[in-house]
Amino acid sequence: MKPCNFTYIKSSSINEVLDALDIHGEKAQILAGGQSLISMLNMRIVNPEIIIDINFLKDVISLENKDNTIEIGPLFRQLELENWSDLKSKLPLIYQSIPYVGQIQHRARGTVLGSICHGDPTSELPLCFLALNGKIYLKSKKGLRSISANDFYLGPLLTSKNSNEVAIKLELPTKKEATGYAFNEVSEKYSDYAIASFAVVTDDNKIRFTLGGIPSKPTVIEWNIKNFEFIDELLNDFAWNLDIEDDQHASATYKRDLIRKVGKNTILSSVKNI
Amino acid sequence: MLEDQPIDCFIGNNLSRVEDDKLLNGKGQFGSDTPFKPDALHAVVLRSEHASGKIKRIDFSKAKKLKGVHSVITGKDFSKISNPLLSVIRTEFKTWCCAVDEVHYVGEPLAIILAKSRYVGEDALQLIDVEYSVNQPVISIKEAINTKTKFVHKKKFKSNVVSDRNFEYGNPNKFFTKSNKIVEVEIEYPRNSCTPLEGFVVHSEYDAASGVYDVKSNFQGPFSLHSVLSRALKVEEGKLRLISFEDSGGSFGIKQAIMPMIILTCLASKLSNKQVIWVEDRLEHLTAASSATGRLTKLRASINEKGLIEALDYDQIDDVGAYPRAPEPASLYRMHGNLSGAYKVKNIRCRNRVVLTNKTPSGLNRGFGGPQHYFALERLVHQIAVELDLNVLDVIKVNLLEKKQFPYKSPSGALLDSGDFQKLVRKVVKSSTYKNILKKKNNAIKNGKIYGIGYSAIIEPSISNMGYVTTALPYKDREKTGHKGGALASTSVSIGPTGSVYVTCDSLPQGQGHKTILSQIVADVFGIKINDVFVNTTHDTHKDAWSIAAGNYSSRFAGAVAGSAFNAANNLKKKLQKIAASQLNCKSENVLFDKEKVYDKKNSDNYLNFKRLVGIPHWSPGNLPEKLNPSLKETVFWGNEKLRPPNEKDEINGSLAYGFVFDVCGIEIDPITSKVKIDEYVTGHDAGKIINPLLANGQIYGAYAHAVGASLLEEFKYNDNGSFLSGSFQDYHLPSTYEVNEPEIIHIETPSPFTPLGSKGLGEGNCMSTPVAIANAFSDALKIKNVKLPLTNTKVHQYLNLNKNEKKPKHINKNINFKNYPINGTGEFELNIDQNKLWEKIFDFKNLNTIIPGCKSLKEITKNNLNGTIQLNIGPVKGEYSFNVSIKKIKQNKSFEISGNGHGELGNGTGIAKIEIINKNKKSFFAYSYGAKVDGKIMIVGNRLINSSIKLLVNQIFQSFTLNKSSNETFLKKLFRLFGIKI
Repeated sequence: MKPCNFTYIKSSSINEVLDALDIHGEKAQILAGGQSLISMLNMRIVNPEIIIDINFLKDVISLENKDNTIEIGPLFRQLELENWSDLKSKLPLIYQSIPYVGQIQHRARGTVLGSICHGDPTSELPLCFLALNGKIYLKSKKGLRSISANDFYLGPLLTSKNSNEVAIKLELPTKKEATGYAFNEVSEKYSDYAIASFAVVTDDNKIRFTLGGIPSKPTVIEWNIKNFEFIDELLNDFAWNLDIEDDQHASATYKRDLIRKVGKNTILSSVKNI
Repeated sequence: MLEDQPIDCFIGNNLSRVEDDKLLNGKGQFGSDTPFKPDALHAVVLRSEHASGKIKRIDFSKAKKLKGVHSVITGKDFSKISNPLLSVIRTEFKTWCCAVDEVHYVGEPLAIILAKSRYVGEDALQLIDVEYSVNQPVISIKEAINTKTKFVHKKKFKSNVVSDRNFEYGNPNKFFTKSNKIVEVEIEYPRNSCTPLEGFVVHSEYDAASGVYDVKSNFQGPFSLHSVLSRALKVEEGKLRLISFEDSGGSFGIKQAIMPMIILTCLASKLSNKQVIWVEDRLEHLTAASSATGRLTKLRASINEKGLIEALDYDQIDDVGAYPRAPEPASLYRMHGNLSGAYKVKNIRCRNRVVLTNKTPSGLNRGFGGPQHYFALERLVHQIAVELDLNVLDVIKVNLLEKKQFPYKSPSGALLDSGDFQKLVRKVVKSSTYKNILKKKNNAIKNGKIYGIGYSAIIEPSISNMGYVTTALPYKDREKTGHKGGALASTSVSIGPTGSVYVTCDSLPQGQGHKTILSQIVADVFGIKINDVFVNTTHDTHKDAWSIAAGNYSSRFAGAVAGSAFNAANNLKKKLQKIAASQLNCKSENVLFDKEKVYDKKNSDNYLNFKRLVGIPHWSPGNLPEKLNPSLKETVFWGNEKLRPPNEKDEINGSLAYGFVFDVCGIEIDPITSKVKIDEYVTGHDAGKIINPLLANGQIYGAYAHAVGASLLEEFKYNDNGSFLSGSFQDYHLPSTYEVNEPEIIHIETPSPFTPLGSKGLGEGNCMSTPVAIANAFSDALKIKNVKLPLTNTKVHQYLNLNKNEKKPKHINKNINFKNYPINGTGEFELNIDQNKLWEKIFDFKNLNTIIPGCKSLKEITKNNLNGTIQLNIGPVKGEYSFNVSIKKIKQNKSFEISGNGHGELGNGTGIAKIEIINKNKKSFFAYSYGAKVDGKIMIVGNRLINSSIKLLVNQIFQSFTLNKSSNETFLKKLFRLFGIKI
């Protein structure tokens, strides 16, 4: 299949992007790495009137190592992050999860922010973003705002980003003392859409447990570390409360079982990693 | 045979593929790289969104008006100028390539749009409006057999069974009595495909002056279908010229199914008077290209105490989809001669039925009939061992044919040419992989792991008898239509004036390395360098030799086609020996060819250069000895008289050569993730003489990878409503290098006495042996009898019985209404507005559109029947849909039901919802439950997000009713804005 007719806008600065978004809004689609968009365009599942290509932006950051945070710009590729030498020490959760993001060819083009803004409920980076409760900076003609991961995801492919906004920066907290991070994923085959993915951050206070793949958006729950001994029951309750349905690749009982078993294993790994 | 070969010959050696340099450098000339005329028209196919239904109305008016659209041709238009497809099985309904008034499967063509580019054609496609009256489809084989009301072809044919034959060989009835030990298995083999990288490509052009259709396509044969094509086009043979492209991006059989699109593009070219181009995309390919048959088999064996099979009783039912398109029901009959597999059993009973379902018609696919056949037979052998508490390996050995029995005539007519099954089994059992498997299973048991071992022993047939499919017809019918049997292969070899050798053949390679193999063979015969052989594998029915058996299928290349090349080259060599003898003054039988020289065996100093020798007939044709014809071109049509038509006893030798494959695998199952891991695999092959071990192993690796996919991942899935669920690689899962381990390959070579080089086919064996070896290992690991492929995580989870004993918390209490809908759900909100007001708001149809998110228009047509349009967005996936709904069962201030349907560019759907206002704990709640069914593109490629998206959309719409405008729910506000609603 071939994409619909669209107007292609190649922008070289954030301001050009914002101008275009201001005029075209809902009709426009931002093209970053294109690893989801291009196939959707080809299948004519997505038929935008305008494509704003941000790949040639000059005025954006790539990766900045701040005191307690890592800042990532809109064109920073997933593979660049994977190859960043400090990834393991600064962002251990991302370090564990990034090999699951597509295959290496996807990661070479796909951007970190693109994946986060696309908001596929099975994607790894949105899940880690939520587990770390990072921040995303959204810019429009009206100004700049930041929104935390807790408030960013609304549904399948639905985020709080408005159609006149472009994400210009992601802020992720770096590894904290006495905190354990763990990621795990189950899919039908390597690099495929997750049936269930888990990202867990545990400290001496709480277990922050996030689940992707099964719910319609990355979903978080926090448990007081004191309840650790009831973890089986907590996971079972959490699983049932999600109102999980059978789909062609996985039954609801299988998915709940993954939450109970792989979820628990991921929590245990996070504790071990403290 | 090979005794005259030079010592350092190419045959038998690991020569690297001569094709690869060009392909790896991006210089391949595939179908889509091939130029076409500047004014050519591009075809886009309008396809059915439903599995079964009547076409009520198609509105092409907007599409036809679009700039760049040449015309739209419907099934009716096509039917006026063509014949329906001829099939092996006579049916009362007509097999059209394009639906005329009914649709029978998702993806069935309804019309062809011709446009100046594919882009414009796709634009036009989105402007076409089709209205169907949808019927309940027939999906499963059991349903197809048992139904009294649902028929795939409704009008004329009151059954879904299109062929039903019974066979008996030996005296099976003697053994199926109460006193005999009977073991039985029932298997269900899924529909899947081998999904080549490149889809179908066809360039068709009708020349009005000559009346010839020139077709360039990646059709791969068999060319017996040429007459099916020309008959459908209503032209004599010569007026359909089929030409192949230079390179092929794989086929594994499936490109045979391009046939209907060759016909439609030819007719479109005739109607438009322009060249017509069609390039299939992945979505079309997975949905509507073709598929291997699904099969249901009940297989029983009567056995003695040692596990020796005395008699077999097959009841096989093949699912060929919506039409029994030629060459079906070949899937069911390719293995008919070797129903007894690699075993000694003499008595066989067999019932074969072919059923129709509302699915894509089946066709050739790697292994063709073998995976289904051996899945039953080898599961049975495993089960015999289980039930008699014997070692599986011992049961296999007891039943295997002995070396001294070859050539062996099987009860159902196969003439197994050669083999030494015990030798291969011994060699596999001695392998390090086999020893590892045994060791690992022992350790696994000690460590509480789940580990199983599976075996399979299969006969791999190659070089199909073109008559085997007629076994589907009773003998009397075969008498009437004329007996068919045999298979010719042809190759031409010619030599130029300075020693370049040219080779063409009637096999249309799909990437296997024909150029390499033919170069090896011909270079050996003439003792020349590989680089001096020029193999051109494009084929043109107007220029090249061919017969009905021509084409690339049934692993016929190494045995038949390469053999005919060997014979053709040798015929030329004999002529050259005579010419050389006259020059060298020696006897022609003493002339040897080696290292680009031709010399007298008795005096190697007495020689001519090959180049010099072959120049003689070109430069001085008058001076040849014995008045030899100067032609240095030799075309050989090679066949073997062993391939006879099926006889009056229904015995059929379905293939000329039969290889042997013996596999053992060890699998491990992870109880946490329910994942199957193939831990170790050893595959033993006897394919006769191996021409090039490197390429042979490449074929084995490839078939193995396909088989791992079939075993663990791949299936074309339909839900009960006939919605197709596997339209993209998101949902049709292919294995990658991460899932496919490297098997150990073991060869022995027992040459075939019937093929010129002693070679047999080996490209399909693992597609037949591996799925059942894995299933046997799975059965061994879990001690279960019924194993259904593919062994996906969720299925394994069921087999592990982990779906039982789930602890459901007390507060979870979910009632699902509308269970007959594939998508359903419930929801509830606390009401924050007065019930009367709510009621007024909902039934104020004039203003309702301002409340429902995305609703663009809404009109009450008759009382409580509304229609309108709505914009529904899931992130970037935006679509406008028109809908009709009716509101029923209204109980004022209490409850009502809405049902309706909608359709738009991305798909269509029907749905129902029940709404209730309930009071509990002094609070009022708005409670709803719904059921929905979605079809069309959005379902085919996006079904992984459909459930959650529908849930969200329904939730929003109903919540909008209950929303108090003063409420300051930021989340909802946000959602509404995303759906284009200002509140």
